[in-house]
Order: sequence, then structure tokens, then C-alpha cells
Amino acid sequence: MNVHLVLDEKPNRQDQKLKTLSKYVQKYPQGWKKRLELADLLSGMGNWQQAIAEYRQVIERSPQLINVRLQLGKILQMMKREAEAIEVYGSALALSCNQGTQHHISGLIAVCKGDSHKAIADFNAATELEPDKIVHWLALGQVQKSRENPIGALRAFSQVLSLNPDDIVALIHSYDALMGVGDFQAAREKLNRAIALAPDDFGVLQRQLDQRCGMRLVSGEEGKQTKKLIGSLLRQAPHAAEAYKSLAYYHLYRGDWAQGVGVLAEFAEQHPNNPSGWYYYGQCLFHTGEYQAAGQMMLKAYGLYPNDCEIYRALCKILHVAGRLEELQPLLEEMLKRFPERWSVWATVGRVLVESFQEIERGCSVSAKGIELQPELADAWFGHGRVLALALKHQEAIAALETGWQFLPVAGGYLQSVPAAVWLGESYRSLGNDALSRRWWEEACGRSQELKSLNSATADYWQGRALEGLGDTFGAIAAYRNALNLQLFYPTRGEVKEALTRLQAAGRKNSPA
Amino acid sequence: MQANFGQKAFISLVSLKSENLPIKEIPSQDLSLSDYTYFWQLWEQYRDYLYSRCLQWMGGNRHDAEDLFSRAMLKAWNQWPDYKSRITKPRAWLSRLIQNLCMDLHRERKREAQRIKNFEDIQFADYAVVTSRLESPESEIFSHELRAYLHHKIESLPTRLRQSFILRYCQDKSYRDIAKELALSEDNVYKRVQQARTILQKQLSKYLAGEDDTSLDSLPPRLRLVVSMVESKPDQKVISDWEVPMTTRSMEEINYKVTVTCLENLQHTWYSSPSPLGWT
Repeated sequence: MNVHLVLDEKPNRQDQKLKTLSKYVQKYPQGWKKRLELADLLSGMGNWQQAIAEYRQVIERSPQLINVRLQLGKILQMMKREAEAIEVYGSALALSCNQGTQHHISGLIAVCKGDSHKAIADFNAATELEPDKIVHWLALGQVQKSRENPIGALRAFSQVLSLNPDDIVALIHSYDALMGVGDFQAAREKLNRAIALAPDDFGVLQRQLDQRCGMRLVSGEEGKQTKKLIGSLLRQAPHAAEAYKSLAYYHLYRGDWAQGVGVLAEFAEQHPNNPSGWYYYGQCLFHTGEYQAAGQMMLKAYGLYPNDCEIYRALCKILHVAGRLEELQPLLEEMLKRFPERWSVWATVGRVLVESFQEIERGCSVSAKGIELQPELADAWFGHGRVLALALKHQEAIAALETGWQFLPVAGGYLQSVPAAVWLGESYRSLGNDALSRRWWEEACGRSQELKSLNSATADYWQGRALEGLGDTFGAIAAYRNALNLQLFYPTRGEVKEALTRLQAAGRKNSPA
Repeated sequence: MQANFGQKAFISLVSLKSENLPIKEIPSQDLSLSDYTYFWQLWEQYRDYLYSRCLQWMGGNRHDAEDLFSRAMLKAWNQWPDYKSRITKPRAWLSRLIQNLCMDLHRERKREAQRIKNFEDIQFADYAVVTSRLESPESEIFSHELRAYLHHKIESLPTRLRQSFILRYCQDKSYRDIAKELALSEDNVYKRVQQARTILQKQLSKYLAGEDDTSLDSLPPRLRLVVSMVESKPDQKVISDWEVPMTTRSMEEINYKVTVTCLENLQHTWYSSPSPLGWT
């Protein structure tokens, strides 16, 4: 297992402290306080195996320390040693005599068992008993986030922020949840607040860079500022794949594709056991159109760490375009088995079944599971609607897409709503309803203007597609060209290039001789 | 009426400020009078001064002082016929008599404290030893007050001492069992229990001697409740929460850092995709 640790405080003289504490506990083996310090130090240094041993000894000497048990349980849980974690949490539960704490620990046990329904019920019970305890709301929000329920997560993190408006963790999670529901305005406010409070926080910096890259703030003075932030991220976490990913995409958005890919290639080679390194390298190759190589790198990431949903989703996209369907097929069942609570997994598998394997009915029923899981999430409906459209079930597709439309936030939601409007236009056209298809494409054009402030290349791509549907050849060409100039990535880039060739040919044909 | 041990201990919790009373002088020629009328004249004459002295010797405790002042008056009245011929300075004589009585009372209280000194004799769950010595309603009050006081003092012990002490004396566990439960050596447990005993003995001695100013009003609500129960249900045995197995209430605050520590999974890079799912 490969874990990159992000610590709140800069570690100082760790080796010296480790030596001193080790000597002390050797001299006084019966004490627990210094041993606990030693265990915490080892845990902070990432030496989890040894930390576990020390925590166990602390518990032997001072069995009443519930928090030490919870700390040990958390490490075991993170190391995917769930059975041991459950045992440790169980022992903490037996010691606790506070009902709120008991529910909280029961929730942790349920998380280890993969039963997020029970975990949510337990954490909810804890919050009902002790609504002023931030830890219960945080735990609840984390579970909601892990099962891709941004609405539930947002509710929990909002409670944390009502108790402590400066809670950085809650601000970051709220930002993610708001992006998940498409409320970009509110998300931006949260991020700005987090930046003001903790500009050097790793999570804050990462999200700030994502936002700046999306807005293409990669040249001129803004570009310098972006580079500065990347430098700060790299200094803070010189071995974190995420930091190198930000640097690589900075180069990509500037048009230096080879340099960008090179950054991640070098990182992956230097950190061969880091699945994130191979994942980002694979993504980068995919985005630059190197599908076969991308597939290889992503399979390496999968080989190192098959527990991450994003690696599976990336494999679905890459192996499909790379035509490696034999390798893709066994992964589909695995995904559903590993992540049955994530709506996006059901939608992705549904789409692959329809698109790559022509299993129309199964694909549609699999993606329908996504809306069962998140019936109030616009994205889940849009995903299912798109699968239905690809299965040529346009009537059902329209119903699903229009239902999702009802769940969009009043303001924002452009990244979700613009594609949905284009898809609705296309489905209505397939059904021969020109009036409604035009109406939706016009809607898409209007909304893509709003999307430009967030992600201009994406906005131009969707605008081009809507204009193409509306028959505005020159407008579509212009939008597509803009998208390419703004470094729209593959595989969409390939699609746009083909569309441009097609449109330019049509333009020449229609233009007066 | 002689105030009993319990009553004194109870009323000793109320602290009052002493007052500076004026001293009036008596003409020396009046000292030759031998009848009791003269005694009462003297008593009335010196009353304020004597009471102020008495109050001072009783540590400012008005109830104790009044009680003792009455006893002193009776004793002086009884002894007056025997001593009147030899008394040249009646105010000094009366003053000494009151002082001696005060000292006697303090000594008596100290002896009581010594008697409850051995903690092995105290059953903290029901205070059988303490209550057996106290029979009157005042004793009942005292017993509950003492319970509250001990609760308070045991709760105030440092955690490391309190745990061992409660397990030993309230839950009646052996040193071996405690050592096992707290993951300490037996020697260490013994040492902690002794330290706790020493602290509590000192405090209890002070309390029984009326030198402890701990006010019941300052006790936590839970302890005040123990005291108030004496009025409504005097015969009911108050079950101490120390009788239940040791819990870890104080250690139950779930750590924020532990909660927020989590494995950060790979983030979907929304900005590089044309839609949240990366679909077109």
C-alpha cells in the first residue's frame, strides 16, 4: 500500500524525537503516556505497522483510553485491515458509556463492514443526541460523500460550518459537494473562504489550482500566479502525485503537451509503487490521445491499487476507445461488486454495456440503478438519460433528462445542464420534434455562455455541438476552433477535429462558387 | 444543650465574619460581692466581649460559638460559688473558662477525625461505619453531608489517583485486579492508593475539625443532590455511581483529528472533462 501523508503541522526533528521516545519506553516499559507519544509520532511519520504495535501496547497498559482505540481502528481501516479495525472499534464500544459516542463508534464499524446505510443511520442517531458535536457531523458527511450523495454530504457539512464557520475540512468538503450538485457560485464562495483562512492547506491549494486550470489562467500574470501556487504545492508535498498532476496539466493547458506528459512520466518512473502516479500519467496520455499507452499505465495503477473507483472509471473510458474490450469486460462486474453504493459506477457500467458490448437491455437496467441510489441528483438522471439515448430509447431518455433538469440548482449547474440540454435537443431531433430540439439547443447555447467563466474549452465544445444541431455551421466551426485552441483534450478533441472536417466540407459545398 | 459531633460538623460549613465588640470595664470594688446577682451583673457586663472572644476561638462559626457560649455560661454559673473568693479579675477568669471549653471542643473533634482515619474501615458505598456512630437526625444530616464532602474530595483527586482509589475502596477490588484493569504494576497501584489516602485523610481531618471552608453551595449539582436527599428520603440508601464499574466518561470526547483523518481517494478532474462524468 502506498499512502501520501498530508500533515497539519510541519514535522520538526522527528528522528531525534523518535530516538528519545524509543529510549524512554525501553527504560520504562510500563508507562503509557510516552508510548502514546511514540505511537502518534510513528503514525505521523507514516510508519503505521510500528505505530499499530505501539498503540496496542498503550491499550494494554491503559485500557480505558477510547480515543487511542479509535486512532488504532482508523489506521487499521485505512490499511484495509477492516476485520481488525472492527475488533478494535468493538472494544471501544464496549468501554463507552455515552450514547452519542456509542452510535458514532457503531457507525465506524458499519463503515468498515461496507454498510453505509447503517453507518448513516448510526451517525444520524449520534447527531440527534449530540447535535453540537462536530465529529458526528463530519463522520456523517464523509460517509455521504463516499457514497456519492453530495446532497446529504452538503447537509452534514453545513451543520459543521454552522458550529464552526472556519472549519477548513468542512469548507473543502462543502466545496466538493456543491460542485457535485452543480452550485458553482456557492462552491466558489466556500473555496474563497477556505483560501482566506488556510491558503497553504494542501486540499485548498489543489482545488484552487483545479479552478484556475479550468478557467485557463495559465498565461500572463495570472499564469505566473498559478505557477507560484504549483510551486507552493510541490514544496509542501514533493512526493505527492497530485502536485505533479497540477504541474503537468498547467503545461498541457499552455499547449506544452510533451512537457506535461514528461512531468508525469518522470514521476511515475521515480515512484513505481505509487498508483496515483500511474493513474495521472495514464489520464494525461489519454487526454493527449495516446490511448494504448494510457491503457497500459492505467492497468498498472489498477494492479497496484484496485480499490479506487476513479481508476475503474478511467479504465472504462480508455479501454473502450483503445478497443481493448476483452480486458474491459471482467472489470465491469468487479466494479459493481466493489462500489455498489455509487451511482456513477452503475451509470458507467450501463454505458459501457450499451456502447461497447451492445447489451442494450442490461445496460439500461444497470444504469437505472444509479437513479435508484440518488433519486434527487440531477447528474444521476442525466447519466441514465444519456445511456438510454445511446440505446436509442429516446422517449425514455427525454423523460430521464427532463427529470434531472428539475433537480438542478436555481443558479449554476452549467457543467451539468449544458450537456443535458444538448442531449435533450439530440433526442428530440431523433424523435422528429424539431421545435423542441431547437428550443433545447438554444438553451444549451445560452447556458454555455455562463459556463465559459468556469471552463471555456468545455463551454465552446458544447456550444459548437448545439450550434451544429441548430444548423449554424460557421458558428459551430468557430466554437470548435476556440475549444481546440483552448486545449480541449482527447477523446473529445478527436471528435471535434472530425466535426470540423465535416463542417468545413459542408461549408465549402454550400458556399457560392 | 451540647451540640453533637454531627451537628457541629454540619454547621461548621457556614462561615461567618466575627464582629469586633466593644469592651466595657468594671469597677474593682464590686468584686467583693458574693451573691449570684453579682455574677449575672458581671455576665451581662462582659457578655459582648466574651462572646466576641468565643466567636474568634470558634473560628468565626456563629452557631458553634452560641452553643459553646451557653455551655460556658452554665459552667461559670456552677463554678462561681467555689471560685468567687479567689477571683480578682472576673473578666479574665470567664474569658479563660470559655477559651478552655473551646479548646476542649476542638480536641474532641480532632479525636473524632482520628477515629475515622483508617480508610479501610470506611465503606464508601454506604458509609456504614460513619453512620453507625451517628444516631440523631443531626447525625443523619451529617452523614449525608460527609458523603457529599467525600464525593467532592474524591472527585477532586488527580485522575491517576482517583481511579485506583475508587476501584480499591468503592468497588472493593484487590490490588491485583486493579493492576490488571489499569495495566499498572501492583506496586504502582498500591502507591497511588496510598497517595490518595494521604490526601483524603488530611482533608477529612481538616473537615472534621471544622477547618475546611468547603461550601455545599460550591459543590457540583450532582453532589448537592446527594445532600438534599436527606430531607425527602432520609432512609433511602444513596447508591454511589462509584459502585458501577469504572467508566471512561472523561476520555470519551472523540478526537477531531482522528475523525478528519481519511484516505483521500483520487479526485475526478472535472476541469479536464466535458461533463461531470466525462461523457459527451
